[in-house]
Amino acid sequence: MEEPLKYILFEYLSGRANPLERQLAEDWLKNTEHTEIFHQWLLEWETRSPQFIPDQEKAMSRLLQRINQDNEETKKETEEDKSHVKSLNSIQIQRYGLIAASVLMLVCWGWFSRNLILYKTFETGYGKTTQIYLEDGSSVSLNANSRLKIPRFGFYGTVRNVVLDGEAEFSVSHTIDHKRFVVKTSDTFQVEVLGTQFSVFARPRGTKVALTRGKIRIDYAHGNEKQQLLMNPGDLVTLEKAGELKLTNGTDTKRYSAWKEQRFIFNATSLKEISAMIQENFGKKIIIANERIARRTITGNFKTEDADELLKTISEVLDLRIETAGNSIIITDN
Amino acid sequence: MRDPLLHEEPKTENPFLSPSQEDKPRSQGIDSGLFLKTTFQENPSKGLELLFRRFYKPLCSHAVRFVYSKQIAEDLVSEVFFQFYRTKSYEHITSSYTSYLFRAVRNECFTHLRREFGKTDVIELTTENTISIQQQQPDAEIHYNHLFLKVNEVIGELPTQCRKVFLMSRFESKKYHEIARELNISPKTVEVHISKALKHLRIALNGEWILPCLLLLIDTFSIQPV
Repeated sequence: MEEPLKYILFEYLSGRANPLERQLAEDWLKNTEHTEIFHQWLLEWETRSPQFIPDQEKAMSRLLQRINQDNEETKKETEEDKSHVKSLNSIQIQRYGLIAASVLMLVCWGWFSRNLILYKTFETGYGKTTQIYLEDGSSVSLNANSRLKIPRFGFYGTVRNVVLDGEAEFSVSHTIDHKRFVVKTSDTFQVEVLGTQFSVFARPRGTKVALTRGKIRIDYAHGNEKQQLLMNPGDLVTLEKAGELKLTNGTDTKRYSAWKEQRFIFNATSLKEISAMIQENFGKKIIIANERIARRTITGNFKTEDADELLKTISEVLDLRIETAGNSIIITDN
Repeated sequence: MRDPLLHEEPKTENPFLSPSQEDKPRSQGIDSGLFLKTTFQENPSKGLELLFRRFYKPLCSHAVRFVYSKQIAEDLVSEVFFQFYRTKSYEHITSSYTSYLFRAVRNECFTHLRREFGKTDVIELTTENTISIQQQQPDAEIHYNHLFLKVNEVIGELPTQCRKVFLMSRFESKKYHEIARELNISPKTVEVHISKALKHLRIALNGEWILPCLLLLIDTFSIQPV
């Protein structure tokens, strides 16, 4: 009975068996006692009709090589084990090493994430402003799309350090021990105060500081030199992208913190500049059709909380057309 | 009739001897399980070599029916031999060498295909676990058969050019640009053909993983400590 069954099985394995033969083969296979003989037949079948002829010798030498490598590794390991048994010290050393490594890792982690641990960040989204009260009595108004980083565990030492990216107005209170208050906007630019009110604008477009009350000092780097500049109330300092610092006296500094009340104050402000402001504050991309429109200016005082309203007013005043395409707004001639 | 449960393997059929062994006297029972067993006891690496020379080719031939790649087939079979030696499985196998090796290779192939074409969230079993399986559920062998027959069928049903490209890439391990040059088509077309074939396989084999998976799981838990 074996030979015909074997033949059927071969047909079945070749995918040529009819449903009856298939059923027969599988029923026979279900009996685990037949597994042994099935594997014998598989061997015979594969020997009789090989699918391809592999390079056996090459494979053999590869296998032996792998085994040798594996042996060497285990030998090394056991040798290491033996040396550990010989001297208890080495185990201890290993243990201390492990502890030292963990401590080192912890320190490294702390060092790399020190900003996260030591500082707290306030962040505003597009079109949102917020008021932050610091523990020393100072207050900060944070404009839209801005980040302020302050020490998590309070101000210690002789300096009150904060880091600003964006736009904010600071109202710094004077402390009894004359602690300095420093606003850093980059590695090369910082504003230092004793007690005063001023606003800082630190965006990719440039940096601006407007002083309302008191006295502040700007520390900046010009080339490789560190330089200082003292500001009086009404002064406006602008740091151009090129690194030049420009001081203007007697400006209306309220203009630079008008955003606190969602107010935009334009004084012969070009449409190009306005579109940059809208992009900074509301995250909308403005495309101005041509240079001529971009150069047009507007003067006025607008109170608004959304970009569309502001743009609508501007377009009515200047007789322009506004189209919205996704997240960008296109301004063209009417 | 042979007793399939004997450790000794049949002496009657042995066309698979390599020439190097055939010059040794038959009286020693060169291909018998007993002979291999004593060799493994005395000199395991010699035993491995004998086993390898005798089974490597047919095992590769079988593996390639599942994976359709010479390279993968050889790698999988070599892995089985390596683990067999490394974990000293030869010291406590209860079946014949033939049966053990075929089972291990079929299992390896199944695991490989599942990893390649199955969903990734299926519980992973390490190869070492699956290789050491000594007993299996009755349906396992049938499932393995279904699997390679299915692979066969899917590849057979591919459009001619697609199948040709797929086999050149997978079976022969040829590079895309080599195939493109040989068949005078763009490498992009080669890519499209191959991804089409792989997609067909993935879809067709979708149902093949569930039941055997459970079986393997049961097997893993039912292994008796030796």
